[in-house]
Amino acid sequence: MHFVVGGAFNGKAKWVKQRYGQMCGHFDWRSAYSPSFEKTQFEEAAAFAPCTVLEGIEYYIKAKLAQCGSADRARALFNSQLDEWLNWEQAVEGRTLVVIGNDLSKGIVPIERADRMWRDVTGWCYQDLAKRAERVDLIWYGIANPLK
Amino acid sequence: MLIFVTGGVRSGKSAFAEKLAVERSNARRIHYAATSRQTDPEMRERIRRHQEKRGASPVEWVTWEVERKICLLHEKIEQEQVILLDCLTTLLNNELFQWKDAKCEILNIAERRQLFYALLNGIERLQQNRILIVVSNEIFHGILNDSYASTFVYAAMLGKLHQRLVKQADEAYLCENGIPIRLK
Repeated sequence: MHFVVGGAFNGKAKWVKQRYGQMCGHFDWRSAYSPSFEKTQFEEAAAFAPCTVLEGIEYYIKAKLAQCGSADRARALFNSQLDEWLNWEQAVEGRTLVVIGNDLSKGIVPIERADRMWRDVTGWCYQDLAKRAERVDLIWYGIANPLK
Repeated sequence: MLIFVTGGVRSGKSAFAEKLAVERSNARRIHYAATSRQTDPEMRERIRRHQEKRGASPVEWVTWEVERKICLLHEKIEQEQVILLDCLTTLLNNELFQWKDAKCEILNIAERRQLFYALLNGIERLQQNRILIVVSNEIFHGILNDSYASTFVYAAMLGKLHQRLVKQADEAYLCENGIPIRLK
């Protein structure tokens, strides 16, 4: 699993498309920014192509949070999903999962309680993602800085 | 030559950019492209603070007020000169939001596209045969609330500008707590 993180509008998707376009040719692009996004699209690993990209993971985390309403529970649910993604990846040689996330951690404290909780859970889930990912890149205006 | 410098608020990016400008100037005068409007006491105070620091500098500074229309500045400055543009965020703000009948309006899509390329073009021309240092801000690491559509548009545009400038730049720096990190 490859975790790609960075600020909004920093060219993360473009970087992933370039890198994995060359490496894999075809990839399955699943985006939480799509107006028709359902969280099941990120969960149906059986339907993933061998090279699959999940974009906007912070919105998937937000949906998980909306589902259970508790920060700890959302983080636990996210980690169960991480298990499933890693199992899927390891089950067959040559499978790759790329997860892209916007960094939400450095702005002003949000006014809405729900946004504060979303920001907190996203930060914790990113720590879990980074810990369990094989590779982590921080993207700064198209330049990748490998963190792991 | 293009040098891009960014960082959070009070990260020391302006001071670093000024230091860079002095280093690269070979004791020749430096052109300062100021983008802020002196609209209120707080802004005047910020401007005064920056002016004072430049006043204490060993080299001569020439100030150009460019609240807008950066694309015209290259006609006024000779080649081989050092120019410090501080900052892109204010310049974009001045161009993107227009006051009409005491109401603040954002440019429409066609106008925004035009502005995007006018800004890139202006910077491209300014850096030709000169040393141009562009200062900008990091504003991309918080929740971007969709309900503030104009903020979202502003961030999207600034982020895309940064990507293009970093790609084009000879050097790019991120300032953190007064410490510049060279990323390109």
